Amino acid sequence: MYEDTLNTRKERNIFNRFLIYMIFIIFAILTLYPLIWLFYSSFKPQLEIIRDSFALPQDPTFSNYTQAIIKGKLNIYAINSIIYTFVSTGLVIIFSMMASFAFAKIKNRATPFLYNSFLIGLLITIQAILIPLFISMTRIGLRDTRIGIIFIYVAINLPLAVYLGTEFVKAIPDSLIESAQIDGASYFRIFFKIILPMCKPVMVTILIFTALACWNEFMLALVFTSSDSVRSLPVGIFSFSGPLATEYGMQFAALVIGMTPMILLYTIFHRQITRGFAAGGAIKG
Amino acid sequence: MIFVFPALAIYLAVIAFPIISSVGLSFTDYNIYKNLAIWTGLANYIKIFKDPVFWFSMRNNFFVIFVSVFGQIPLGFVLAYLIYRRLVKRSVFFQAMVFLPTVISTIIIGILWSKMFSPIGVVPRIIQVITNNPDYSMTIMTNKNLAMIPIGFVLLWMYTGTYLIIFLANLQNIDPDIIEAAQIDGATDGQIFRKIIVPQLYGVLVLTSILAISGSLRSFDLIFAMTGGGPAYYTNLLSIYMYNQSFIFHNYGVGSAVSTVMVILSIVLVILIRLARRKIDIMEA
Repeated sequence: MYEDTLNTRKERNIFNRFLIYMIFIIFAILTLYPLIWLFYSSFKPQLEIIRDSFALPQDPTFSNYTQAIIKGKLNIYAINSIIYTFVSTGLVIIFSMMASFAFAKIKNRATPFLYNSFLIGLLITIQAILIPLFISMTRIGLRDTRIGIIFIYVAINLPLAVYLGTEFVKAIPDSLIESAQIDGASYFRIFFKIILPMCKPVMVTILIFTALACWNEFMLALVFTSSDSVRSLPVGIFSFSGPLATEYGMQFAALVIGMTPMILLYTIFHRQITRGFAAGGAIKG
Repeated sequence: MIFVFPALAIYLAVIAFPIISSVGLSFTDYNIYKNLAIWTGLANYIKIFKDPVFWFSMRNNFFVIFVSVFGQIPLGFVLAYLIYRRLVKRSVFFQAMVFLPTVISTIIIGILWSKMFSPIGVVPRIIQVITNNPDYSMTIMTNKNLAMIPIGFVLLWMYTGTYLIIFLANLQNIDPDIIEAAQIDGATDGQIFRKIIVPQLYGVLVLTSILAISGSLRSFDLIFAMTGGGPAYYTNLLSIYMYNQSFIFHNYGVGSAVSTVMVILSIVLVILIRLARRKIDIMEA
């Protein structure tokens, strides 16, 4: 009797294991297959794509990629995206670390109010600022300029960066700063010599979040750019991959170009990215 | 003060000031060419409440919220729990597979999946093979009642990984001694899950629900790229409705009214969740 229940229990366990593996394997296939399909389809000529969507390329060609760059101006969009990502991320890191230092260590009466007003920014619906921002950017002439885009990207990424930075700097012991002050170091010296070197982990987290957000951002770039010379990659790709576009090979090539940098970044930094999302993802949502 | 200034100045200009002026604009018929705003009272709000497209968008937004709160979060939680209990080997690989879509641009995912479901994609082909009906043609994306189903699937596909990471990090923070002690006392797996794991992660569950709701309300990219709100307006979201009103039809007042409704809605839903949490807390005490 006892043996029996033990056996059925064991069987049930094996069955459960099998079920659990199936779930994860299905997830893995659902993630990998579309990406692999997209990759090999991007080497197929138009006719092959229409004839059989399953098949591997019979006559692989690079022309989709050259087309995407020449006709789709993908090189311009890619350069813009690189500029936006690098400059915005750099500025966000500098500004947010400065603010974090002040919020965490140089307290005055206005600190709680200013810090909380940054935290509200975390929950803001971006649509709530879109129209007034559009109007004021148009009037001061920053719409459809690279500076305008960078300006907005820095602003929308600051709340999370300031939050993560401040919480991190708070954990640095006050005694370190006090002893430096006794030695006559200025706040600037303390910031550059003590705070920044200790903040490397949180700076990596901020870098990952901001770089991902800037590279992938779409709606703001769509609204605030209208000429090809300032468009970013997502907007550029969307402009010739709309639901009605028919040059499939070129679109596939563009999609591959758009997602490869982030997939590479993830394979290299997956540990840091996972840790960053565990820390900041809860806030980012 | 010098340390806070750059971050604060950009933040105020781009986020704080526009929020206030957006609410103001919603009571006017602002014209960007004349830069003229005439007070129209509640006219914009009456206009959108009478517009069936607005209500379709609202319905779809609630569908997205439903998929996030009752799809992504439970699925992410279960997968995190399975990995946490070491029920699968190679968990780093599987974790990466579930998470990978998160780092890819939403616009690219939207276009990729709209191609997957389209006649040149593989989903109709797979159904042709399974049903052994070579004439099968996929119409789900153009069916006004069903087009939200593929969108729901892609929403699960791309965001479950974020929640998996958040829950896994929090599960790993649970003191293993508590679980060991419970096991020594003869608690079953089910009991441990119900009595220890879930209560410990209660706060995180509430927090992620709040973030899922505010994230779902502002989501734009995925559906904009997958269907553009179509067929007709059957997959519209409030954000797409707002985009069309403002930047296609140039009714900035109406657009501002929609964004104000979105902000109010997200505040109300967040308060409701907070209240529900307090009620459960009282019941348990």
